[in-house]
Amino acid sequence: MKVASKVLVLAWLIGSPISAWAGTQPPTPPAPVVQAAPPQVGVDEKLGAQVPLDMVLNDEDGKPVRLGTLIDKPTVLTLNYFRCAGICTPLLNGMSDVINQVQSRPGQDFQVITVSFDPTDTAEMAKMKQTNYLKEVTRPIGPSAWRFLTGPAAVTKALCDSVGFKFQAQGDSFIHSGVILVLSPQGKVTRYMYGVSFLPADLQMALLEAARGEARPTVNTLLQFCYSYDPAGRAYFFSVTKAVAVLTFLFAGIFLGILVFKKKKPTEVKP
Amino acid sequence: MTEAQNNLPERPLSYLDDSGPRRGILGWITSVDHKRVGVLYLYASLGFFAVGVAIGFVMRLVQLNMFHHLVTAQTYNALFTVHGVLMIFLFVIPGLPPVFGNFMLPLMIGARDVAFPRLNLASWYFFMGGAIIVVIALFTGGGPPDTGWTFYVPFSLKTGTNVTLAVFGAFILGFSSMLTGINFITTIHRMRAPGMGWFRMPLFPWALYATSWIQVLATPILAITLVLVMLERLVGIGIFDPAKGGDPLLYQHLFWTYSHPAVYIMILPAMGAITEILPTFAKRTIFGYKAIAMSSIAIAGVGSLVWAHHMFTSGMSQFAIMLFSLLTMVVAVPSAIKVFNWVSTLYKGSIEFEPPLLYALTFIFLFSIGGLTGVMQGALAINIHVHDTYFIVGHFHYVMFGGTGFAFFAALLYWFPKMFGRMYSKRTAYVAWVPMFIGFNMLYFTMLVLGLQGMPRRYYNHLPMYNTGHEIATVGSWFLVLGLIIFFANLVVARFRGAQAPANPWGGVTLEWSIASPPPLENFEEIPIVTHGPYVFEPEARHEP
Repeated sequence: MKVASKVLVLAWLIGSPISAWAGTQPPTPPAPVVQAAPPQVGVDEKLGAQVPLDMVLNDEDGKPVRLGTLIDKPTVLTLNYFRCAGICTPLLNGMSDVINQVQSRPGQDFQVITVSFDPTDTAEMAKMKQTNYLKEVTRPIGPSAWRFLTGPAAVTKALCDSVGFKFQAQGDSFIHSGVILVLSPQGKVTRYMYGVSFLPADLQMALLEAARGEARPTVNTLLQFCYSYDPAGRAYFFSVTKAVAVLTFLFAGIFLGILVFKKKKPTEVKP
Repeated sequence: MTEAQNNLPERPLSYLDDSGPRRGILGWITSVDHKRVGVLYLYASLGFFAVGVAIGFVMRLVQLNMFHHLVTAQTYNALFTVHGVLMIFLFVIPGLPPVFGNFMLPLMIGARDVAFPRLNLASWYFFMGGAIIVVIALFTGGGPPDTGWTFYVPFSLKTGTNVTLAVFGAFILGFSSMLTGINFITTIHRMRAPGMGWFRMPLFPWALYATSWIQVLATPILAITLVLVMLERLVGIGIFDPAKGGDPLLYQHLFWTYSHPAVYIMILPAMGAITEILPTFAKRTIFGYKAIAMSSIAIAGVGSLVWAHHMFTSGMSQFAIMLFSLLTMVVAVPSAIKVFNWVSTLYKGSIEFEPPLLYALTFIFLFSIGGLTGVMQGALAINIHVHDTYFIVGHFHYVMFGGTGFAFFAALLYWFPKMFGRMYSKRTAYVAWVPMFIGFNMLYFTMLVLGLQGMPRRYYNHLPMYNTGHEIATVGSWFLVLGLIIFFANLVVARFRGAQAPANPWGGVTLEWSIASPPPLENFEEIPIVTHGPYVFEPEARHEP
């Protein structure tokens, strides 16, 4: 992943045909675990779906909290359970890694909400998780930037259904897939990102997209122009054609500008 | 005025006379004189044209079903590829701009040379270098490429023939085109004679100006695309390979993003040359000067946005298809503006009928057929029906050969006396036209019909139902070749044995006719001062004594 991210940065810097290769090769190809009939596990993508903002969950102190009051900025939603011995820990580690690297500031530009879909998880466990993971984050971050929520089975199940996240109990554990979701400030699903580790550039792009319509720095607009989302590869890639086209027109414009605006030399006089 | 110039007291040293430190051939291939470079291009591209014609001739023979023991199906694939590559990359694209543009542009705008004379010679070396590499590719490696001149992936990545070297040659040729474009743009901006504002500039330079911008902006795309094909073949980078996350359709987009504008690189200067010829023989100013100048720019602009009409059957979104269909219809408008202006120029003119005019009128006729069949294909339903049939082949030969080719011949007849100071036999030029015109229409109009009947292009064999059509077309190709032989034999004879040509044999009024034939080394004794538009024929309006 580190190498891949370097390649991506290189591609962005050079803007050369070689970068087209690095760019069109999606760096994170893991496809979602979509399986047919039982067990019904995986992700049934519902881009643009609205998460139920009226839903009431329990916060780390066990107090009820309405989801709508929490989501007021681009939000990364992860669905896990705290006793998970499998994919959840690597995924949350990946989440803390990417929080450290991403350009957007946690707490200010975006936040993370982790919801447990295991009804036996308690607020105390959530509190412990939060304390542990906030320690992993080296950037300044308050507890409100990464929330760990729990709730009764019916409620958390409804949340998972609303975004197409399917899990199944097996013994006392669960089978589920590794995915994080990016929500807009209005609670709409704008992007699914699969795997357990995430490229900062990808997350940055997804957060920008989620915040679409709000004022943002010019450099980000430029980034969005240069990178497109490839639905098949499920990743952002550098659209070299756009960048090269801009460069070409830029040079042509400079050339024309010089020809038009630079003064002519006095006409030569033949001796 | 003409009389005085025809009897110059003593002929000044012309560009044809050796004057530099080197003599003979060396003196030519090291000369940075725009006129010599133009002539170098002329000889080179006519040489490739001859080979291309010969290959086309053989392909027509194959369709008689009588020579299948001599030409195998694989050879046939190689033949149509090489025919396309030679004709497009080595004759039609470097036809009018490098030959007549190099020679005439500085003369027509009253300059002593192009802006970058050394770069100009370097472009010729790029051209020859690329051409030699292409020719080498035919005889080495896995044999001549068999992909068609479009080098479509995935076949061009899989074929064992020498595609890598051939596209490298085309890559080098691209540099020649770009450098010429930069040179001409700079020349037109910076070196016009005093008093020659943009709208006092003749229309051939206007056409060259529009063409040059396409060359500068579009050719890099082809260059990159060809490099990607090479990298894909050599190290398998996967940009066009879906298994590695690539996209074969991307190749088609990139290729046509250059290659459709390239069609306008071919036709715009041809239109420009015709625009010079008509006023001279109608003895009146061009009708709609500004409309013609601006339509050149419009064609260059809109023509750069229509490329995907080559890809209607390749699997694009319906919206994209409709958009490109619409844009294709739009680009017909400026082309039609030109045609109507040419015809209006002749109306009430005092027409003097000479060979260049005959060929120019033939251009208008053939180009109109080519253009109208093009609009037909712009319409979606027809396009799907005729895609990859002989209809397409017929259509683009009407445009490329009937259009650019005949304009090239017309321009050659028009400027030959200026370039070489010799006059050809006008009678023979008329005689050559007859088999050329008959043969051309027999060959290519039949292709249009065959295509509508369903004959697919690039096929080695055909069903018996197409026999008659193929026979007519092949016989037509014999007439056409006969006409070409007479045409060029006439010029070769004239080059060495022709009578001395006067400085202004046609009574033209643009600046190139105001100097001796062949032009003196430095073009103009004194840089002329321009006081009126380019096509003013009335002496009293010319403010001349």
